[in-house]
Amino acid sequence: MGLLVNPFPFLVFRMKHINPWLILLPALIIVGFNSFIPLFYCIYLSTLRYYIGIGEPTFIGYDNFRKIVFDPGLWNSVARGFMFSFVCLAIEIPLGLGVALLLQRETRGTKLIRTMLTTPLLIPPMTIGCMWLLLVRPDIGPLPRLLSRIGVMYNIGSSPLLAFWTTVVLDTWHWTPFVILVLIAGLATLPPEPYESAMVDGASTWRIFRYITLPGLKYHLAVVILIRLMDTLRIFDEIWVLIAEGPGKATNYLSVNIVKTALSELNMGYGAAISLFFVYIVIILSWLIMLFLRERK
Amino acid sequence: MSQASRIFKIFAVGLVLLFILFPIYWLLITSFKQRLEVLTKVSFWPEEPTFYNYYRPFFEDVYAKNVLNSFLVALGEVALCVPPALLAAYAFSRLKFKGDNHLLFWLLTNRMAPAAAFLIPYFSMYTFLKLYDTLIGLILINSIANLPFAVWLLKGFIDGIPKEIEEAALIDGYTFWGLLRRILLPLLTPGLVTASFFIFIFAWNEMLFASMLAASGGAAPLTHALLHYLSELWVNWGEIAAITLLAMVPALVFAYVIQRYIVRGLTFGAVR
Repeated sequence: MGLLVNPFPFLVFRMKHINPWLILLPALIIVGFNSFIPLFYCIYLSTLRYYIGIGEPTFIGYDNFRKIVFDPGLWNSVARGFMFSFVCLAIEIPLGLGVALLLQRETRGTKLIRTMLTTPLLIPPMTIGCMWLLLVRPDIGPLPRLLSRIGVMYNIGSSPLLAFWTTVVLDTWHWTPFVILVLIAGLATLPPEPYESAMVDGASTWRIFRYITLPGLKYHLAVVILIRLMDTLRIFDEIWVLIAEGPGKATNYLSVNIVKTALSELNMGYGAAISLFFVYIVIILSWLIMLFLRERK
Repeated sequence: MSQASRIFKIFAVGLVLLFILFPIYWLLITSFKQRLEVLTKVSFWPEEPTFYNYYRPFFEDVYAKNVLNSFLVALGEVALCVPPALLAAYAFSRLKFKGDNHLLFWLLTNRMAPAAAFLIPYFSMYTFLKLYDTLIGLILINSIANLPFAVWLLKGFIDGIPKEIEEAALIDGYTFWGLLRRILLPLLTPGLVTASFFIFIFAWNEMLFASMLAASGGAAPLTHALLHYLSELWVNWGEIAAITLLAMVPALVFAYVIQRYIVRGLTFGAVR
């Protein structure tokens, strides 16, 4: 039937007899190839003491995992990673909510503004790193040079605190538009009736926000918080381009830490162990997201 | 709305837009500045505008190959991910089978997993398979995130199609392929287009795998080339700005097209 010739005549089946596994197979093979082989190889590597180019790999059992527990560098990295996530969320969510409330009504400029907000979400993350490099590098950036004229030292290469906050501002630049757009979508789903009756009752703007808008946005806020949490935890490209691990390892977030361990120290065994640890954190978090999305139905 | 709150609104939105646009503006003017001007002055408009910075990335063949590689990887990624994802999304959306929810969750985990965590095993694995520094290797490795993404997105679109249409097709004695081609594909066009654009952008934007699994020679995409240039000792920042802009082109072109679906895409269909 049809104009096209079916390239797989043996796969012709009536609707009643579709085997779900058969049509899942191509996707499962591709993802499984990229998922299971590396996972098992990672588990294998994590039991070795293995520096690339230095000696032979030797089996050391779970020593790498024991090292994780007592490695201040790693826990420092975990703490900084979560601190980064927390600070970013604490800034982006209220800011995004505020702007979403301002933009929710359709006016002439809204569509243009939304297109503008879409742009940072689509450009390569690494180019955002480049962009901020041009702004904040001590030798070429306008920010440090203008600030130095009024006597303020702004050098992300020497101050851990400044490095941290610069990455936070960068992430705010990158992802606040996402928060804004999701929350605008959320605001559009709110029914108008409660607002009308609140107006009739003469409720204050704050109380309307607190008791009608905020509860109505619960789902959208949760989605955006969970997704932002995952994305901030695994942030890599922008940070790597901007300052890598930063002064005093101030921006040695989880992904940066893994790449540093593998690339600079060539410590494959321990790097693999950290990777498994990181994946473990991610699995727990995406499990939460999944529960949430299922709840919705 | 009162006059005061209107002014406040314009002021606040203007401030946010300024914050978003200024870095882009700075990037743009830097790309037109002379090498010396970038190093010596803070100028908000190029004193002697020059196109020199665009010469190398656009007209000399240094970056042409990288752009071509990026393009091929992104296109290959769409071709590799969308058809299997469509089939899988149909299964997840319409068919009941044991463990379907767990499997869907497992796919999401792959999308959410940090690319850096897979880096160490990937390096050995792709070297062993002789896929290091090949376009095929880059296409294959990017699918770990993009295929699950496409499944989730397309599942949302298929969920939105009324089941009755398929039941009618069933009565008419359609085969699965007939149903797919004649009924689902036309209805799913927006979904497939959205998924394709997103995957193209994601593959084009990817940096970590591109920089670790490609040497500067053969299959290096643009992100790799830019990172490589940044690590050089003497950098012409105007040129960096020009290449950065070049890397942003697909996003700028597609921004308007997928604007409608951006929220849906970036939340894996959780928010319509």
